[in-house]
Amino acid sequence: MSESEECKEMKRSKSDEWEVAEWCNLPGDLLSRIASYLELIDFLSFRSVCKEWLIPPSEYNPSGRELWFLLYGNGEGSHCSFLKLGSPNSERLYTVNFPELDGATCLASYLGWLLLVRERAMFFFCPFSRAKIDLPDCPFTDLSEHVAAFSADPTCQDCVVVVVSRKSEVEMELHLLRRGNKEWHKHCHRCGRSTLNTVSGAAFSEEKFQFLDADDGLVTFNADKSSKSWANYRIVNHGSSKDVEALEYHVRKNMFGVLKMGQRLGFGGGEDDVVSISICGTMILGIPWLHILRNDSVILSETIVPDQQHVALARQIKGVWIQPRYVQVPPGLTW
Amino acid sequence: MGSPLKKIMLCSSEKEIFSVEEQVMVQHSVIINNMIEDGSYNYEESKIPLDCVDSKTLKKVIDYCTYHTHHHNDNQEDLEAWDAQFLNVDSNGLYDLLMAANYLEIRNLLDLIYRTIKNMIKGKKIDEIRRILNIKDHGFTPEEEEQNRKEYPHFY
Repeated sequence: MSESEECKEMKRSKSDEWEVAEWCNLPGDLLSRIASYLELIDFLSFRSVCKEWLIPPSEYNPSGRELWFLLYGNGEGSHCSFLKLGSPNSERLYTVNFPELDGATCLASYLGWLLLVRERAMFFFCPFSRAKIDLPDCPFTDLSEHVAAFSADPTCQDCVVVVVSRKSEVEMELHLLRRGNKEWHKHCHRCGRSTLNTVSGAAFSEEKFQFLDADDGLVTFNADKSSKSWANYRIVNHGSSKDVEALEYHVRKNMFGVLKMGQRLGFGGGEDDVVSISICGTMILGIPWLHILRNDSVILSETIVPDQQHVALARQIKGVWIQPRYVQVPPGLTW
Repeated sequence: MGSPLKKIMLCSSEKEIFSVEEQVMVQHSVIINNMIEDGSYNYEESKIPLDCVDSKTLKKVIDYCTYHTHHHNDNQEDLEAWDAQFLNVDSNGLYDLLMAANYLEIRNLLDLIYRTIKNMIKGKKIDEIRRILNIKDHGFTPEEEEQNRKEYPHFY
């Protein structure tokens, strides 16, 4: 083969945009490789640098485990505040506009998805990719002590959503929706507040939905089609007895205070700025650098209220913990 | 694996010929390694044409491969310092190196470049990234750009 033939051979395989040092024209595979090196917050900037970079690599998963806190519903349009927990000097508060969250309340946060309800409309929303999946209207209207959980990524065929609430002092009520179904199904469970007080956490673990209160109460629901069943438990310290079953996660309460979130979010600006925040918990994979959450954990929901004399003045805000994932929904996907 | 004294010829887009120890390129470039292994390279006559790599970039790539072949036993800190100095180039130079490393499949150089880009972007706002990478035409319509700025005000 002569040299000129050889050169021609190579020329044909070269990229068309080769001559121009234009970062916007990066080939797609290099773009995804670069993205795979980026932390989520940098990835969000990265993809808006130029239009060609906007098409995000579908496999993007932020490296390292993070914990974010989202403040929403503060009555300032659809402005929400996002905080990525980190070391004090790396922490930044981001303002993001989420019209999707206007008037909505978060009932669950898991796998990077929020499960939200606005009046009777229910939907999944990923605040990082802005992916949204609408669910059939929910069967309840007024929210009181409602907590939800889902078993898998809502794009999975076998995803099951449950919403629990206390129907009366002696009865719990659970609504269940399977992926692809239009109808919610209701299941009741007789249990008083001594068995399970106000539900403040829900998780899917060991193939069961698990509902927690802040007083070591635990009620599980097996949503298996053939053998639906409830069970009541008490959470005790491990090692006390052989016939104690182990939970696959740690239960963490009062995390807003423990992690000094008020300070991190810049609250406490004096008497004029009093806030009342209702915070939706989440289930997370352990975060190695955050000691208290180094194991897989369920962070319980909580409501932060100011002291008695300020209560009337307080701004009502909502918040939610979220372990980020950049999730996308295939076009045309519906529940 | 070729003998250390054997040389191969690389030909840049400007048709400049670079003679390099075979081992240096074989160790680092998957493409050249394959070429040598499958016998398609003729030591008497062949010059590997790299039409997509200009002389300046090719020289840098050869420098990188040569250094890492002869200094792979150096301590990590020294190597990192050398790498940092090596990639102290402008964004056009970095782009050219990325394209060349990708073309020649030099994996450790690619990893180094990706990490460098990561550090360039880390914590930066979008306008800053555009300036650093010298991106003048971001391709968004004014309306799209305005919408983006509205949705993510803190990212600009």
